[in-house]
Amino acid sequence: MTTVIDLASLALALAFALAGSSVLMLSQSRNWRKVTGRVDSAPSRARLGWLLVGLAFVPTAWHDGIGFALLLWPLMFAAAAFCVAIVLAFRPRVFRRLALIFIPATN
Amino acid sequence: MKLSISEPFRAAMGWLHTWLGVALAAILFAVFWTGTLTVFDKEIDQWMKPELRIAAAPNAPVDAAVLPRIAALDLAPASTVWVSPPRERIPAIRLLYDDAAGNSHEEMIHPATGEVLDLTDSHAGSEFFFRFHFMLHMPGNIGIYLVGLAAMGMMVLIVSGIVIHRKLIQDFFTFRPERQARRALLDFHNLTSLVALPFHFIIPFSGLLILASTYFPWSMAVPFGGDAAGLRAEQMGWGVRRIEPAGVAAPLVPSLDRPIRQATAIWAQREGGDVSTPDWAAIFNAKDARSYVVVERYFADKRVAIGPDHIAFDPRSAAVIGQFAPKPVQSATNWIEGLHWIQFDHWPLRWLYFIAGLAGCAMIASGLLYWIEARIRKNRRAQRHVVAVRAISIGSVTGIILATCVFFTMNRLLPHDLMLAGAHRHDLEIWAFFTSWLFSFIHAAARGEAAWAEQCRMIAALAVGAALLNWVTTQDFPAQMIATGVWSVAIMDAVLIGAGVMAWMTARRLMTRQQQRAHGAGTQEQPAE
Repeated sequence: MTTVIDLASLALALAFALAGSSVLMLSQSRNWRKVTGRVDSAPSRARLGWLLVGLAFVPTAWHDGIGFALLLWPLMFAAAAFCVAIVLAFRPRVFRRLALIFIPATN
Repeated sequence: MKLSISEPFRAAMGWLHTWLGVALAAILFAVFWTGTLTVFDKEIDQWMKPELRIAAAPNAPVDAAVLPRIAALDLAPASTVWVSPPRERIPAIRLLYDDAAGNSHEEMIHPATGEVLDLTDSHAGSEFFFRFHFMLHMPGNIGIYLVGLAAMGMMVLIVSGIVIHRKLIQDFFTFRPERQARRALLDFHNLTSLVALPFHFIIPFSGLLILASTYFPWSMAVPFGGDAAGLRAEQMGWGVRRIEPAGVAAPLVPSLDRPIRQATAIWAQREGGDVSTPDWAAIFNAKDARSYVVVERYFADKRVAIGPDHIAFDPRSAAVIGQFAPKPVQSATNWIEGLHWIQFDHWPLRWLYFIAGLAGCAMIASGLLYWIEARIRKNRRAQRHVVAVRAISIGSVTGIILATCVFFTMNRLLPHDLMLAGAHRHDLEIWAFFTSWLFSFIHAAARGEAAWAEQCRMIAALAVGAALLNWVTTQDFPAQMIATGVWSVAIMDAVLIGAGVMAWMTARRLMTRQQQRAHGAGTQEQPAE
């Protein structure tokens, strides 16, 4: 049971970090154009990105305590941001679905 | 982010970053690489000393296994015996003592059988890689000072790197492997630096903090009238627990488990919840009528912060006869030092440290490669200093990885009790490490650019070979190790094989690129080359 909670809290934090990094990446025009193939500038979603990245702190702080969360959080963000950058470099289309969510907002 | 940085200042910082980076890269890579390995030092110990491949039973009772052994020892009546109970990452009981003749001994005891383990003589992870990480295997404090200077330099490099980066935010996620090598390398250097920036800064900072009392011994003793012993008594509680022996022989204390349980209960009351395992239960005046037991905790396993914490017990009445806990004023530094020591049990965080450490290695290596590529582009590849920097880069990047693989391979090849011309087995392993490292520099100087790919191929063969040799010499195949609960060995085999495959793929890509380059140099396609 404790293992399930361990994994769930970790997975939740990682999911927030990955989602937040992806949104931050898409809020930059050059990346937005690379992912969507459009020529307009990126919809401003940086705040949502930072919010999601920030939310990754919550499960770790709740489950591991502040002492561990202060280490886990920046390192998970580092790993997530690195993954996002690598996927963007080699498989940018992976982010299309996420980008499509934002398109109506720009029209 | 709008920062007004004047161009002359940026240029000056660029010069600083370039040349300080080139000057310190070799030593920084060695420290980062061995530090990254030390994240898993206990696991490397289990791989290199197969006798330690015992399923972990943290907090298992120690009395039945260790007390008969201590009773059988030939001890001076006033001597101290140290016992470290099994922990998650150290499955055996550790026993330290001085015999009646005054010689120090260290034994590892099987927690279930009480058998003294006949360990393979190797300095492995927790002695060799750990010490190299801050002492560079140099005599005295020379290595410690060099590592300290490199750590200061690392922080200067980070700050100057931030100043010279023109599009810090816009380029945060930028990696363009399809662009020319120089641009792709700079992207990769920026990416590995930026994503883990807080880590790259806090690691040298906390390392310096840990060694601060070595660098500035006098400054910390000033409030104690320059008396370092007074400082240590205040910080560590030394001197508060010494009870003089009675001079009357007496039998050994009846139990260590009872004081350990008592101490754990006291800490649980103070801290609430999960309590860290004690590092040591020490018997003072071991064979004297005034013997007493001190339960100590320094490296906590359930929290990040380290710090001394000990309780002394009268073993017969079970009464607490002394206590020491760190002062609250130390809690910030204890947390910062603890994050560098990484003695806590947290597997996901431990892996993140390992990955961030590798990112640091990649940052240093790509920085060096960028420096070389920038000079190749300006047609300076044949200049003497460029050739020299390339040879040193190859030796300090692929060379130390190669030497590490040789270290592991030799560990599995040398017989268990080998002594060669008066040299211990662990020395032979270390000589193999340094000889192959030296070889990598000579090879790099002789072979030039081709040495990158050639050393990658050697790494591939040696890494996979080390895993295979582990299976041949110990029959500890991954499936069996997992079934017995010793995951560390199975995972280390997997990491070795994975690293081997990656090194092989890197070698292939490098060779293709070199062929393209050699081809392109003959035509007018790449005049810049």
